[in-house]
Amino acid sequence: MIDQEIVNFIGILMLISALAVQISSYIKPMINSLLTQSILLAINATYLGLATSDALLILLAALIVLLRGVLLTNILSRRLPHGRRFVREYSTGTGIALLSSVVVFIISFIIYRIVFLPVIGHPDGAIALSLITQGMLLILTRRNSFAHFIGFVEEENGIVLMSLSIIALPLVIEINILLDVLALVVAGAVLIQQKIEHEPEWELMG
Amino acid sequence: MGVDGIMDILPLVILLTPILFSLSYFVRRFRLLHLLSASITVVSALLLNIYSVSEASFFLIDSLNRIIVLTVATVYLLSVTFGLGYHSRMGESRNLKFHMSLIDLFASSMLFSLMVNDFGLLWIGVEATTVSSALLLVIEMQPLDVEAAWRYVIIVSAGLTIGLISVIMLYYVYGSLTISTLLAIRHASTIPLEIAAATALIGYGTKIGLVPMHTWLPDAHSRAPSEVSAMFSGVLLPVAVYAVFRVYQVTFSSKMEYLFLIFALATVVISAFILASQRDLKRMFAYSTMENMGMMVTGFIIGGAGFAGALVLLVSHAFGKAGAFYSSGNILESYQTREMSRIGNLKENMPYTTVSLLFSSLSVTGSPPFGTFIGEFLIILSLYMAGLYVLAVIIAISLVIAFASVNFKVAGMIFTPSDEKRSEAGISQRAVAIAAVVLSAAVTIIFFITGGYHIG
Repeated sequence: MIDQEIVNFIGILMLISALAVQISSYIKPMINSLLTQSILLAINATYLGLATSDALLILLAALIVLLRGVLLTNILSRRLPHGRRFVREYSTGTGIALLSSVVVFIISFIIYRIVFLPVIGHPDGAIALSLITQGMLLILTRRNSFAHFIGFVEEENGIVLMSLSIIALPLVIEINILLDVLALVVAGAVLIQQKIEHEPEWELMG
Repeated sequence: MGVDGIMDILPLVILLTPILFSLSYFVRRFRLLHLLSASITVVSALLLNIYSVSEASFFLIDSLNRIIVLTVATVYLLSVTFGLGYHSRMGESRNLKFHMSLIDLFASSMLFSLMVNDFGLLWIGVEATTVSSALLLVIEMQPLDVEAAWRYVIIVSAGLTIGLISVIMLYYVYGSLTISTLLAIRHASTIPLEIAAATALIGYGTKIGLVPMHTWLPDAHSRAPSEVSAMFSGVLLPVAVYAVFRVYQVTFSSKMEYLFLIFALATVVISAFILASQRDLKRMFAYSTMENMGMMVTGFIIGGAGFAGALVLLVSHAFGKAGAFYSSGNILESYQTREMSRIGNLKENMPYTTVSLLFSSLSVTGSPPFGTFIGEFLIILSLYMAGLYVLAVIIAISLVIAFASVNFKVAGMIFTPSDEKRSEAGISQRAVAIAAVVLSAAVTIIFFITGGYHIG
């Protein structure tokens, strides 16, 4: 039997971690918040696995910790230049980031209530949708490669949470998605090494 | 095991051959091995079109995807051949070896997406095309190439993630992701299926380059090496069109039909107008690709003759656009610029490339006798027959604008007098560009011989 309060509590903690990512201007704390978020996602999967006696969900949780928690954040951390803790970006002020983040939270909940709730019948996916939109917001508002990637992974965390909230996808699909995202981060890490800050380029206009 | 039994393993051969040969990174004679890999893939894809193969198991092979598989395999062979000539000055460098191995993996991921019989694995395949192609853009590690590659990776991946919601919704509704099973079910229009269709449109639409999710496309196409641009425009985007069409097939509703048509129409119109203001040769062809993708989506969605038109357009455009990018690569190599205003007197300096550029431009803008003309004609005809007169007229006007914009600029480069002396590209590069154009025209002949107008 699933205790919905526990699931919601973990979901709220994940939202707080998304908010922490949004207001960070230093990259290292952003990576740490992402790590926390991934571990919370794994705890959610573990709890659901235990509550429904589904060993595959526990396996999924272990893979999330291993691939998304440890390996992925490790790759991102290792790509930080020297003086790792002090890589920051200045594209958004904390106040604006916080405000836009809250606005996006509210919009996500409204969209979920209008579009998804009548169909799904329970509000669990709302937090997942918020995580997806928070990830997209991060990609849109930042100029830094690390922030872009963290936004992308946050989006993917939202998708896994949505799948857990609505209907768990077959494990083979979930594992492949995790591996795919990991491979993308590895490929992206090569690009991060070449360029961290992204500005508009005249030759890439029009 | 009979001939048909042996042929059942063809999809596996098509899929695994490029993966296996990508290991030629570790071998000295890597050029020959890559050519061999692409050739085996083409022959297998050809056999897949000749012999009957069990239609649905782990793979789903039907009249739609077997033709696209052959197209992908052929463009793969052309691009490998072109790339080995185009990058010949890189000798046996690790960068080139890695680049060619990635092309193999890229081709394999596209073929996987086309043949797999599961919506979840289809999404994974399309995402894998991004993973395998991301580093193809940066063979020379120029700062602008890196920027374009980054935009490609981030925008496409972020967009595709939305497409994953469609997989969740399909599984929620049907309890299965097997494409052949879902195609066999007569579904009713429901809100979850509409969410699935809309999120697939946004997700895969980002990869297709539908407006307004198209921003990565001109950057990536213009900065990628020409053989990669050819694969992107010619076959990668159609693979994403195939993916979105498969979702559309199992989620169809009249509301979604209009939504898809609006996005497709916006793409055709906006790209046609942007084409007129292009200065960069490869960006111009990238916008032309967007226009053609919009047409393809329109054709597949409207169905009937439009479906046959979309399929002909897909195949003919793949070769025509590949020819256009190979020709652009040859010009870029010779003139060292993408700026069309700085390219002149092509007919004197590069006579063979002039032929391939001129005819490939005519092909991608839908001129007879190329298959693109038949495709676009059938799509507009089916719009007209469906009573969508205004849509048909808007699309026809957009196509005229695109035709005039591209061919006027190409004619300028060919005929504008210039004293500059430039040398023609290498023989393999010229041959590949011309072969692609010939294949684009051959689609018309094949269409009439095989009675292609009965498809759909």
